Amino acid sequence: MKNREFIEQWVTTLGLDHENTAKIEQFDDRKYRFSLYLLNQDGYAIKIRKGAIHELYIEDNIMDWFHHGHVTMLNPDDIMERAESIFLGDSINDQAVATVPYRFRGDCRDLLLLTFEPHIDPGQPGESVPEALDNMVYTMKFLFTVYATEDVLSDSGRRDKKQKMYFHDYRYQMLREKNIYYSTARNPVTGGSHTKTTTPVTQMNDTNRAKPTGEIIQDIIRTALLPTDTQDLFSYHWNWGGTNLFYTSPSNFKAIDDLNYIMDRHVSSSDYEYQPCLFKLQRYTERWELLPITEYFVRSKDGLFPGVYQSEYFLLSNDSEPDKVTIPPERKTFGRSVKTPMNNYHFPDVSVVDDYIFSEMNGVDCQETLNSVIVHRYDEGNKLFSIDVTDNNISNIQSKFQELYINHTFGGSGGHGVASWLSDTSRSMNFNFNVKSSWTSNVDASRTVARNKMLLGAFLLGNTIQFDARGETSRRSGVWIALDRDTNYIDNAYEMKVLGQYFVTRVTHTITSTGEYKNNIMGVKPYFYQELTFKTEDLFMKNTDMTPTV
Amino acid sequence: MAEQRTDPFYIDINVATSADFQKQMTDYVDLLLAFPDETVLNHAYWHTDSHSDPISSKIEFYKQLNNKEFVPKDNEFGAKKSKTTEDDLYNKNIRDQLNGEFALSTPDGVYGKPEVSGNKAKANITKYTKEWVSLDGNEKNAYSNGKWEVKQADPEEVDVEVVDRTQVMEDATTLESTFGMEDMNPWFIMWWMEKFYTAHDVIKKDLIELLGDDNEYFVKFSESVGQLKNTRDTLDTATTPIIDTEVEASGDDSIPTIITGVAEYGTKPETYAISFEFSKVTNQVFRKNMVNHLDDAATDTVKTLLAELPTNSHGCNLIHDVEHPKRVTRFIETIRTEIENHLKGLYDVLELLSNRENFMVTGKPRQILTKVENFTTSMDLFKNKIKVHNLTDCDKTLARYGKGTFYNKQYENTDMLASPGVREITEET
Repeated sequence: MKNREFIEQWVTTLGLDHENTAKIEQFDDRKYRFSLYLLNQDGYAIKIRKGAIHELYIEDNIMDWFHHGHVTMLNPDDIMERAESIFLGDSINDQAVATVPYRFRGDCRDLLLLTFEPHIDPGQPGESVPEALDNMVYTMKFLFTVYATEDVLSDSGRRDKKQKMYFHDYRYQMLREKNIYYSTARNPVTGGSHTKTTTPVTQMNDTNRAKPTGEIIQDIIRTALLPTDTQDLFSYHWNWGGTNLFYTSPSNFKAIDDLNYIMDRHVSSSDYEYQPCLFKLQRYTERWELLPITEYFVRSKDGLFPGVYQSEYFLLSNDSEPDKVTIPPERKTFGRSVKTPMNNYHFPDVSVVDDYIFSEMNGVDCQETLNSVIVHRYDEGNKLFSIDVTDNNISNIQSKFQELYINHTFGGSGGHGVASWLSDTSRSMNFNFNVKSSWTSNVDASRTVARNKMLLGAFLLGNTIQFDARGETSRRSGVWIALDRDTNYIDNAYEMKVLGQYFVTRVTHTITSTGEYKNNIMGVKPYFYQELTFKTEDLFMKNTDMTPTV
Repeated sequence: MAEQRTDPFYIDINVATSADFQKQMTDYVDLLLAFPDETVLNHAYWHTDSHSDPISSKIEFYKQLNNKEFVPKDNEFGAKKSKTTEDDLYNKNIRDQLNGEFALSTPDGVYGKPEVSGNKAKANITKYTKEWVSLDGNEKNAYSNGKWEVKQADPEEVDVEVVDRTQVMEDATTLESTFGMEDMNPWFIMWWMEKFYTAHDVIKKDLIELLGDDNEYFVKFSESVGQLKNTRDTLDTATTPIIDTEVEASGDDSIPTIITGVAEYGTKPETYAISFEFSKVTNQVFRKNMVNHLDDAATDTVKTLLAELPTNSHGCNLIHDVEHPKRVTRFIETIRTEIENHLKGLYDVLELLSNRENFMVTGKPRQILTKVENFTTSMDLFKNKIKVHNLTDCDKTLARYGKGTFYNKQYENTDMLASPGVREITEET
């Protein structure tokens, strides 16, 4: 049983939902199953009612593998830690239940248990309590630890005092705390066909003490976390990585430092051409996923149909009715009709984008980050010093970006899109480049310092959309959303840029003091629907290898 | 054929604690061929140190040695460990040479007699397949989880390269059913006498009480005993004529002995030789002057006597007892027989001392290969690990008693003791 499930059972036993076991709460015109509990191992537990929530903010960001956020709740007169019973002096009976106040521990062992999912039953009076939805797309279930608290004063006095709690995933907290005694030498690789070796570590060479970086990541997680958080919870598609590393956790490293260190050095397996991978802890299923970015693109579509990672289908609202006579433009997405409850779903009143912020790639990012890199490598074994120039040239990186990622997108140029960022002659001819020293002599592992950073940068720094939408629990990072117009429009370069599939990089779930539930969604779309023929000759081209004589 | 001799110190280095261990776990085995019983004796004596009452054990040991009651054959303290056999040790040696993934294959399982032909031993290897499989069986969709699945294959018989035992290890060690001082050559007798003399006072006192003052070996004995057998000593200034002014009348026997008897045993041959040179020269000077003083002591006047054969009185010719060396030489057999009868077993020791014989047949080894835990380690006579300057860091010892070790690498205890039970391995899930 997962830790969260254990805590859920415990909370149920405590009967904190005594008057609302179905946990149904109303947000605008919709009903959700929503509950939030604060509890700790001393046996103190309270339910934070929806009405007491001033603000609940949960952030799901592709750059963080875990969820985090904060909650501000009404706490007049510090009642949370002072209450004795519902009404002081009332006798305890069926209607009045003794309330034990909460007592903060303040050691990251105050837990927040959140359940949040749509309530699909119409909920007529007298109807039996509906089954929970419990769906991996729509249900949010989290166990957070409170890592900081704060009293928020109000202008209107202590009766409006609030308690603010900052939280993040308890597994992240564990990794931040644990010192692990891990070494690949103590846990030698035994993949494939092998015999159980008893060769002492002293008799192994460094190659035998190394193992694939993907396996090290699993080892670190398994070493630092409770078995219930890891047992059978790793993805079948886990990418073991293309290079081996002989790694021993330094004594001053926490497990999170180890994890970050290995993630910095992890490249995908050779069949994915040593590209960067994204590490993610899936919500609800609580499975650990390490996927090459290509896999995210592959899962965005399935031929002309949505792929498994295509989640919501959004429509841009339109003020005017365009001319219906003209030939409709090419469809930039799969359309609204191809949908299942899990893929490419669309809710007419919710999956609507009224207004959005569209950010082009920053010019300085493009010129100063996405440029050629000259990588220096040194092999201490044979004293060989190497410089990689070709593979890390921005033109080659761009081709690789197109080949690895954009060729899997939905587009109109040979069945796929076209990379949306630009290279130019200054960068490809090495008049504008960066120099990096690699931590390893291995050319594949050295991808981490140059090409993979470019690929990741080109993927995430590119055209970005950000918009607010009415809240919906299925929204999460690491999946694709489609953005399209329902009505006719005049096709142009702007539509080719904006319409299509976005990779969701960040979603925030916010409940405000007014009881409103909303999302802020951010996604990137590193491709155009079609080739837009930009000039790649640099306007500011200058051969800096020559200084003019005066 | 020369009598085999060795320095007993080389036998007493206690490289293993018993003869069977020494034979099966070290290559220091020449002494087991030449001096098997003596080796067992030394092992047994070392063992007395760890007995609950070492004093009594040592007294008993010396008693057995004196009375020829020591039993080398299957001696539990020095010849054969009670809890193992040489066959088991052979099995262990072969097993220790195998890498961890191999299990020795014999008709009687892992612990039977190894089947070695040439440098190949039969062994089994069990292979495992560790695969990352889907938790949902054949379902491998985007949301499938995975797990490690480890499958064990049937053991597979293979030939593994090993170093087999030598003929010496294979052959049985020939040991006597009883053994004592009288069976040893004088070097070993002296060795045990020395051990006895330097033993604890209680041991000495009680053993003498037990055996009596007149026992054969553990008596007061020194090289001064048997001085009479040294006939050359009788030719001194008292027995050689003073009229022989050139000190050469009787050839080499003319020169009076200066370094006499037992002193000679411990004198360098060159010192001994030069003492004769000096004796000759000083006696020439002495006699040339003294011969002029030959006088008839019976008269009051000076009456120079001519040099003559010793018919005059001793006082006239100053020649003393010329006959004494002749008499002694005549009786030498009798003297020796008497001494031998008196000293019995120690007579050979006296002979050894007086003859200064010390030549080695068994040489000392440059390195001894020994089993240390599951490895073969190279060491010297002091049991220090050898560092060999003309070998590289990759050179390993022969792997007869376990896996080879690097000559020039220092090992820690944990290196040698590391075993699957000791190493920490994350459990596979």
